[in-house]
Amino acid sequence: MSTPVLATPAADPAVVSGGPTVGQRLTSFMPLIALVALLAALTIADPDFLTQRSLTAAVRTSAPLVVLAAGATLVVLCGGIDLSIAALCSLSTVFFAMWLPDLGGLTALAVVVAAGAIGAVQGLAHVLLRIPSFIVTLGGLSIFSSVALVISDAGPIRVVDRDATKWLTLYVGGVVPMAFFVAVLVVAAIALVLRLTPVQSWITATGFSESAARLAGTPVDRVKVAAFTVSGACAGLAAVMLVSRNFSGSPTMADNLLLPAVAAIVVGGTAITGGHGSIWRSLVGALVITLLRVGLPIVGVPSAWEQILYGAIIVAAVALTLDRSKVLIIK
Amino acid sequence: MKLTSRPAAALVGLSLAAMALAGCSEEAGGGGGGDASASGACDPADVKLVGQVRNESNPYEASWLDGGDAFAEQVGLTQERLTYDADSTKQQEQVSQLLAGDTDCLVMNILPNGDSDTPPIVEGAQDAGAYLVTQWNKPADLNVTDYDHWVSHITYNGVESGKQIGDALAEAIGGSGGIIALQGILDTGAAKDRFAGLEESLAANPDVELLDDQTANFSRDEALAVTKTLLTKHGDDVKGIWAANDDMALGALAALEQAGRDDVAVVGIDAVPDALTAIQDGTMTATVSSDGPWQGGIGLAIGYCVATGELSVDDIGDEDRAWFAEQFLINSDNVADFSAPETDEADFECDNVFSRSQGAIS
Repeated sequence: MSTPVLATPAADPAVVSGGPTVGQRLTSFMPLIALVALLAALTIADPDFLTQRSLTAAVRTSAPLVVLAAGATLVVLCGGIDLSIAALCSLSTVFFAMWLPDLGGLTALAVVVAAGAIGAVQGLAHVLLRIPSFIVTLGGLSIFSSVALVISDAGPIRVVDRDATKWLTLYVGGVVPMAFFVAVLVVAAIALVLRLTPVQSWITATGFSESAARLAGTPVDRVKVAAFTVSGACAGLAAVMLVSRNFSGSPTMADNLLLPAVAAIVVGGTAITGGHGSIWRSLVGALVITLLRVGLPIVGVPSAWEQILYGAIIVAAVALTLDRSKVLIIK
Repeated sequence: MKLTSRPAAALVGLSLAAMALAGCSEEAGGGGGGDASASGACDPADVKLVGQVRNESNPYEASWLDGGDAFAEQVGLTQERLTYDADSTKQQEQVSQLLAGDTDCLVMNILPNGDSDTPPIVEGAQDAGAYLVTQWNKPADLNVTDYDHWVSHITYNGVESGKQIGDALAEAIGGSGGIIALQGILDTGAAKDRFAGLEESLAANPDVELLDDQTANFSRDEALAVTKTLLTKHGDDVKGIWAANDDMALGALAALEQAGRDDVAVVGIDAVPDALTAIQDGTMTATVSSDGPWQGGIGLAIGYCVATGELSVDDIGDEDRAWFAEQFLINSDNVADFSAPETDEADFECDNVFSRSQGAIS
């Protein structure tokens, strides 16, 4: 079912033509099943939770997390990790608030481009200086947080002119929040590019075995830099979404979204060790995490129990969603 | 990938179809609030009470929620206790989820994380038709009177509390002598206002001399270090220490203990439990309480009175839409009354909810 791993071309066709077994099919749908199960549980706890208004609010809330997780998934699929996404997102909210008076309607684009460029720099540092992605992005996290604090004078900057972000607060068909719609479009666009070009197999090959991928002629370095660039740009887009919702930019606004984003990737069933997974899984994972974040307190779970349940459900969800046949090494 | 992309394709297809069918709109569809009338006619039993603070691990904020529970019990309801871990993003997420439920009779008593977190909460409540009371933080240029579902905003006069403890300190050192001041985070309104209060107190007590003032950023550890330095510098000239909050006052107490000094009076603000214990033990002179349990109850009470129609937003005077509430100086005489604070049912009667007002926020 997986796209051929380049290192073992001879053995693979049999697997592909044989088709997935029932078990494999079930595993690939596990993230969706986990999402539905969680929704059912929340509805049992509070029947008022399952209303169209409530679900609309939940997917609206999830939009920045979906975009953040989608970008970072590419890096994870390559076998790396991007710890800087949340700090870069916070920095981008500050950029947005500061640039808006000058750039007007172009601010959103400028922020996404700037964040993408910053992501590219991290990718270059990773492949050229051969520093582990964990360290590069940990450094990035620290640098971006400090820069954001310094340029914003350590406080939130209010966005008074809301015309530039108004489109994100609209609703498609009166039901689907535009922010979530854009998030799904981004996920679809990335998935389409992966599917229609060799990039998909390059990423998978890099993630499963980088040295084998290099031997097979995969442009590993370029793939990695591209992954970091997309991850950065996604952080910028998530920042625009946050600003449209909070009417301000702040140097700490998205900082607490790092662990939820990583959790979304893992709960979706993408292997943190790289290679196996998909960007769609992270979309579903982000929805699961959002339901946990906003759903638990709203249905009346006491705050002490909330954290316990949150942790337990994430571990249980990963146990369900991860396709163990595809991941031989657990770190 | 092949398998997982199928539901994904369906999702995108559905979204596109929805877009093509109905185009874009400003509001989410479905039932709910947004009605024009600002004064409710809710059956008291239908009112839903929500209190939201940062952390239950903070004793002051936990006592706030307990006060909300006490009011809820008084009117035969229960309060939903929400906390957001001092995370602005999480607070917004919770509020927007809350406002997506049944909001016609929803009453919210909210502690916004910072000034800039108030506008989205206010606009959400206004659009959804919920009744909102906020406390402590709001941008100065955001006017409560521009909204009819943002019923009231309550805060405390920092100048007054700074002066109250300044006067208490002057009295404790016998009206003359040198003091040092520990300031809060200089970029906050609270720190500036409280220090301005101290300056007023110094003007009224000309024999009290301010030897030094330094910031310790509202932090106990920093206050310990700063106080040690200042004690070395000024020695026995220091007769009193003015701290802009209790955490710094407690840090100063630790520094005094290490220096073997027990002749220095210390004052702070906030009435945290450790400070109350110190006042009981006689090591600290005074602090100021905003009365957390009352804050937790009063916000719900005001919203409840409006939601049930006993009060009308139009009838609430402008001076009661954004106001300073009364704060209490605690010293060894009355500390026992505050060590286990309780709410008084009479405070939450609808014709009594503004009784602690010290005037409008100017």
